[in-house]
Amino acid sequence: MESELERRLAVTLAEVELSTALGSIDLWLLTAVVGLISVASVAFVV
Amino acid sequence: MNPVSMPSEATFGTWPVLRVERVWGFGDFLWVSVGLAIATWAFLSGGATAALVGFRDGVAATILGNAVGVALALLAGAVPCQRYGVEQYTLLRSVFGARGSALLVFTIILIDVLGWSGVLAVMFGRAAVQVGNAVLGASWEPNGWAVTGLGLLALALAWWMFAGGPWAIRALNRIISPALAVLTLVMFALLLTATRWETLLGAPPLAPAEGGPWLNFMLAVELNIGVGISWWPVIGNLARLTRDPRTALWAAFLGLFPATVVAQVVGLVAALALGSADPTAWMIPLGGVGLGLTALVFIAVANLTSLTSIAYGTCVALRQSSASLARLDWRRLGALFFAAASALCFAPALLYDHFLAFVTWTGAALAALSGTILADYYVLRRQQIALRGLYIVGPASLYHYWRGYQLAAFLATGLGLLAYVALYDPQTLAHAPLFMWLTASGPAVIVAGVSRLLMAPIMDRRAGRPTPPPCVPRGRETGSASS
Repeated sequence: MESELERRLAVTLAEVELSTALGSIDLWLLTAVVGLISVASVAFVV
Repeated sequence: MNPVSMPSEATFGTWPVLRVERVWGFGDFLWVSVGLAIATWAFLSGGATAALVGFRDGVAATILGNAVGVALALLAGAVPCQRYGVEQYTLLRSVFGARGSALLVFTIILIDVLGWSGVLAVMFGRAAVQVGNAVLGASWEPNGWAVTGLGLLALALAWWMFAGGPWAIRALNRIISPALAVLTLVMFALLLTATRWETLLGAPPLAPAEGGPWLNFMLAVELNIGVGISWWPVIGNLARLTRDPRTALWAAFLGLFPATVVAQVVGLVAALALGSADPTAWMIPLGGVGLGLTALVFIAVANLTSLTSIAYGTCVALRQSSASLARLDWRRLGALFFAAASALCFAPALLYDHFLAFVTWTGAALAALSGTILADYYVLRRQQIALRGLYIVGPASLYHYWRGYQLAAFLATGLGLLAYVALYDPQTLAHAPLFMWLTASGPAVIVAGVSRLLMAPIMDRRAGRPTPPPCVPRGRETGSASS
């Protein structure tokens, strides 16, 4: 069991190193989408 | 490796899920998210919104609140779990410490998910009671023994489905989600044909708070942020089964956000048109006996799939939080969870009829938690976790902190919660002037996050464990990994 966990940790570490974290483009895009929705919603009410 | 032959400790436990084992592509996760969102709790949230505001303000509050809440839940839950394939509350050890994470699971998280499970079970019971009353000519009460019994039946059925694991959830959602989407659209069409547009626009809220339309709008926004952020306790453990970070973020956002809004707006319109916030009371007046009964049966079945998804995420979390629960067979663990939720079936009105306070209180806690997690994961760690440290037990782990607790994270979360309550008390609806412009969740996130950042240089070192550098290489930590 423990050796299987060790194997999984090693493989995951390698996979994480090869992959990219969620990019700042996605974070900014999400922020922009939510910001626009918020402004539009308030404008709709006011 | 074929996903079906994947070790159960990865699927049902805390071990990292490898990329080859991740079963959900963009389409799968989109439908899973739609299935979660079109669950009947959305109708209930729409009904609760209608208690505060009319149609126009209600639509705006639903869209605004859910956009903010869902985005927070995904950034704090789905994205980190997808990156490492690690169970959500195991990953949370990096933020709150091993014991700290377990403490959160057994307090805030368990209260939240058991509450939602109880609400769904009671709604199943009420839907079934409506069917019984219409078909059998019975006169069962909405808070009577029949609701309790049928709620317990719902939990038993959900437990049976839960034993199938994520593949069962996916299979069920592929059938139930599209069917519920159709039902929601049919309800919407019926409502719009039965109700004149002018009547709908002019319909007053069912039970607004004193203080004017803007206050009620802000209360509705706050409620809907609470609804949106309520995905956090379950979304991480589902997102870790997706294949890449963009799928985790965008499939969930594009599934949860619009589907929740559509279903909630249907609930809002139905509540305003029919004068009741309870979705189970709408169907027969709306669709007649035939269509209404079909809709009620769908509602009952849909609640089962939602219950199953909630239980899956929570039981995985419980396994990492207690050694004795980790040894328990998956079915027995599920049985324990559903048994705990069953207590709420004996007091059907407790949460179901106080839905606004329940959602807002849990939303307050989750907003503060999210602020702390966002500051920790994105700013302090720059999305890098020392993975082995999550599985090393005791002081050898980088994430042991002070006796297993990261005090700075708890303090920051507490300050965030205090900021929330200082601006808005969900129990009495008392509020500070700033609430009228900032909401309470927004400041709670910011106060918790900024507090965590300010405390990092002082408290992390005092605890003997500075904030770990990104990607600590294997071998730098002592001790062997143990789940």
